[in-house]
Amino acid sequence: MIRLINADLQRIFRKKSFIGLMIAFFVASYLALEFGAVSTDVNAATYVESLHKYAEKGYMLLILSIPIFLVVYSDEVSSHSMQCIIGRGVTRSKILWAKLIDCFLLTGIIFAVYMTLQYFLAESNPNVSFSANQTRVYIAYALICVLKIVAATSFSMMVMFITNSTAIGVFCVILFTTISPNIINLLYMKGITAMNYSYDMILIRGMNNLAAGVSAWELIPWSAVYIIGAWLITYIFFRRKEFDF
Amino acid sequence: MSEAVIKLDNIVKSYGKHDVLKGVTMQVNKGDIYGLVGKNGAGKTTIFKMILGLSEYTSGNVSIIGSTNKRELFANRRKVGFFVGSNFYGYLSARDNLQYYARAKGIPHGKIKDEITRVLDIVGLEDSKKQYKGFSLGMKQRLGIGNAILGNPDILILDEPTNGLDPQGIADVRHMVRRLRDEYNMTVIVSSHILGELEHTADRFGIVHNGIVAKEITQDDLKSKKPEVNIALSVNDIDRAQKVLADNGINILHEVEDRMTLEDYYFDLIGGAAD
Repeated sequence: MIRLINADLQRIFRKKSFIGLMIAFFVASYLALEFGAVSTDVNAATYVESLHKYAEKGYMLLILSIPIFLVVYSDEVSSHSMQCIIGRGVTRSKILWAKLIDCFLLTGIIFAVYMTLQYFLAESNPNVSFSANQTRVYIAYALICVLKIVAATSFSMMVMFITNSTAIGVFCVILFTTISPNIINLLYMKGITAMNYSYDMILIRGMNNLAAGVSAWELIPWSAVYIIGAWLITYIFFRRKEFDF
Repeated sequence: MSEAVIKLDNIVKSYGKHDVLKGVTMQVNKGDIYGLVGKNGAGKTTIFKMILGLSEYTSGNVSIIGSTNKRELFANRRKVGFFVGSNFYGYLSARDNLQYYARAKGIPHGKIKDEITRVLDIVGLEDSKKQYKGFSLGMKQRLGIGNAILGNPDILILDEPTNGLDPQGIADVRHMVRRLRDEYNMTVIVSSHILGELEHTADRFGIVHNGIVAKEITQDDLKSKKPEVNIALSVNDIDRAQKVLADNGINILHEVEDRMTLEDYYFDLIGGAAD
């Protein structure tokens, strides 16, 4: 499985359009944070607050989720490379695990690079100096974003494999990163308490806990339930899937 | 007795009530170039899918290098290379695409570069720097075969590798297949619906018809099928020739007007291999 992940990541980092898009995203989001969201009063607190807002509203996540979904899952399906790998004796479960781990690693790498650059660029501003607590919260937000992207792409992967359509998969990414959080928020405000257990609500609660300095360990089992749950459903459909050449 | 490397025993594949394969039994021996022939939709590709594990069979048994056990089948499929069309990333070059597959197939890191150079040399793409999406059909087919032979598999499955190729491309594939068997000791299963082409390439044939392998024949069968002696005479006056033969008690079974094939003309004109 390690060799599959290695092959996939090397393949992804050779895609120039993906790398170009990521660089464009880094620059655009830096400019937005520096001159947009916090332009009037630039300091560490407003930075962290802006990140909180981005992570919760999901627009930043949408811009990242779509290319990640396309490059990890959709490219694989459209190139038919999966057939080649299965035909060479790799089990289907290994392929799905490799894809999930790819997604985790890729999103993690992107956020690690992005947040580190952002952090040091922000700190170069004389008005911005992050406290230890703010740095911790800053890292926690990055973690929440990674979890949210991995969950959204995993659910979209599940739908894509069931429907056999990458277009529907991309639509699901949009749905899970931007539309569904707003719908869930709305339902929650209407008093439908089952929404408490939606992954979005769990992430928002975790993020708020982290911002308040409270531990958010419950994120781990819930993330496992949701992400591995999506993986299992995908596997049920994928293990007997008929492949065309 | 030859060692069977691929054996299909009464394979049935059904989609609902429709049986695509109705009990396929065939055997490919080590060192064979086995030609699978049949019209479009006869089930050739479905047979390949069963062998490669890309589709489950309803009943029957598949054996690869002596194993029918599911776990061993997975392991033995690592010794099978196959070409089934385009399975490449458009934004990668030939070398980068093969690098991806070499890593995924578990070729040791230190050997990948040399292995890819060897393969690109065999398929004649050693100088290609283009992205795959800019490849001609012939280049795509060559890269597909290159991917199939990556890691030097024992068995090679080629599903219509000459599809869409020009005559020179077809002849090149034919030479490549023979070379892979003769120099690299690969067992090759190749499918095509161009019978004349396959006749030049393979030494055993399975004819797929109505969801079964209706007949298995060899090159020797083709040679020995007609026991009568054929003598070609070049005559200007056909009526006189017929009378002379009849007067001497010689029956004329059929008359054939001698002509060159299109392939003969083509290769005479442009040069290259038509054998």
